[in-house]
Amino acid sequence: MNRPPHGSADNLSADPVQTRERPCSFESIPPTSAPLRLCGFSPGYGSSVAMVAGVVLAGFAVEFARGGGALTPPSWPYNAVFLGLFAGWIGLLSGLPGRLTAWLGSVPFALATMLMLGILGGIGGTVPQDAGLVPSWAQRLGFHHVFTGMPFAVALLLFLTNLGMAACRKVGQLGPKAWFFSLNHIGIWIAVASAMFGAGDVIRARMILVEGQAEAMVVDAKGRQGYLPFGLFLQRFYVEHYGDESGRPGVAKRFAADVTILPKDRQFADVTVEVNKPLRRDGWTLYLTNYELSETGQTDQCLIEAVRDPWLPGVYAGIYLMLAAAVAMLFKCPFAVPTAAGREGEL
Amino acid sequence: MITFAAGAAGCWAAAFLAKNRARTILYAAGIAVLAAYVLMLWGNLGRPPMRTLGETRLWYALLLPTVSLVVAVRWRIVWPLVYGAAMACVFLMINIIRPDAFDKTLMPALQSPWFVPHVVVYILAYAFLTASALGAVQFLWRGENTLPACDRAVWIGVAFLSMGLLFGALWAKEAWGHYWTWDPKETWAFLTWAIYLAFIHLRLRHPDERRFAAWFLVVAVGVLATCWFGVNYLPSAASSVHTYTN
Repeated sequence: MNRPPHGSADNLSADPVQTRERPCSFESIPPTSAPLRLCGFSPGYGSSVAMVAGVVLAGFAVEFARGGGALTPPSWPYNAVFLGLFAGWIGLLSGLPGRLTAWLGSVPFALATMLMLGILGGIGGTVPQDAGLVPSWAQRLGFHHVFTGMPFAVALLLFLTNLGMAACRKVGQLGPKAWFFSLNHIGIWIAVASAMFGAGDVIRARMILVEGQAEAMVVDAKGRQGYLPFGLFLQRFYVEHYGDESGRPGVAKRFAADVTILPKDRQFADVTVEVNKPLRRDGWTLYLTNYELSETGQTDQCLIEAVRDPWLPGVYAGIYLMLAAAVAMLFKCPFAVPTAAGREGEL
Repeated sequence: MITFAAGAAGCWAAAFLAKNRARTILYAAGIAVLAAYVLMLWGNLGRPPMRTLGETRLWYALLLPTVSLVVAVRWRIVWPLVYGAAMACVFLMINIIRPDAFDKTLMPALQSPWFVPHVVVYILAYAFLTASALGAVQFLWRGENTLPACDRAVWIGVAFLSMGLLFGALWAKEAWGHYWTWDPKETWAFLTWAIYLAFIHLRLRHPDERRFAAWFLVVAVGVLATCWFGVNYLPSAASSVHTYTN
């Protein structure tokens, strides 16, 4: 690795530390000595930032024109078709030679998309995600639902394009040697793509169970009704409290619902549902989320959230790949061991 | 609390007067004193002391010196010991000045096998990543070449940060029904993760841009601090499910 010396003030050329020795073979990013200029004079950065910012600004323009309404994500089978086309497009592009495809899968492009996701995330993490708490101009730009709005969606698509192209090219170049790089990058791609394209198929609905009654109807956030493929009979709902010094009940320690599952064609089954212990059945997961105290302090009804997410296995596959990569990170590091760095004395 | 904090601080002060092996042993003794306090608290409360911000500060004061000691012995460098002890003392002081109303309650959502690993890997990540920021300040201020150590601290920190984030997602699915809901704490956790991933890419790509990298670490630790404490003071916190302080 030959680097022309450049005269920046931080070039500690007399430094004995061999930061440039890179002992690991899996290194994924070829270093460059071209100076980094924030104004975009460094090759690749200006064009990447311009491209990503342009697309996101166009997203804001669409958001503004639509009056700041949230997007309705496509549902089955359209989302699967879109995902297939998108993945195919990435695979096809990454196989093509040329500067354009190299640019789309490059580190500068990755940093530009991360910067943009960071800016949008910063807005969404600071502005309350609640229309009632946001001024109207910010609502018009969709600041109260950043993560379901057009700018974030297009930024994510650019991010997935870049990540997918980088992963395809690396695997193409290195083959099985790219396993470490693949774990991380393909894991993120699978998890994010499954979560994003599967969003339209997620059902989160609520059902109220009353002691001594059976129920199968659920209602989603928009008030639409539906039925579970089985019924639930609430036998008993109970709350245990932490006692305070005076013996009065304090905050809730545990609450649970004893229910009987009523399937159409099978045996009834008795189970207990509580927080952190959901009930899984026929593609649905039922969570005990809350209850209401009546005036007498009695509780005989509780709130269940019924969730269906057919794309969850994809998200989990990605999460487990990323976890494997995180564990591998503890054992493999592309950065050189600091030998004499900052040593002030021997231990 | 004050007794144990003073005991730990005393051990660390003595460690810097000693040399070589004696220093290591005294430093480890300071960590052991704090560990004893954390275990006692755990026993007294009957739940893991990881719920409130003050309790996470206590874990940080325990784990940062532990990480510093491992790094210092492994690479035979001393400065992490100084920073580890100093930061731990600052965090212990905050806890003494603003004591938590330690109560035994643990809301049902937190009663999960995920609770302890999620918090411990996060605090470990914070220990490595704040150490990298302190190393960056050392580089910017005194010109010492601490950056190789910072790089490795970030690398290990990001490994733990990823684990914390993913454990959190798996836990959220069990407790709240969805693995990711862009709750303000989740959003800032994502931003923290993203900024350190960007740092790794930048460092591998532009190894000669040292001042930029050091300043980047200083900004990144600001995002981390926002995620850890700052998010409670943001307008978006009104609707957070992650605020467990009293």
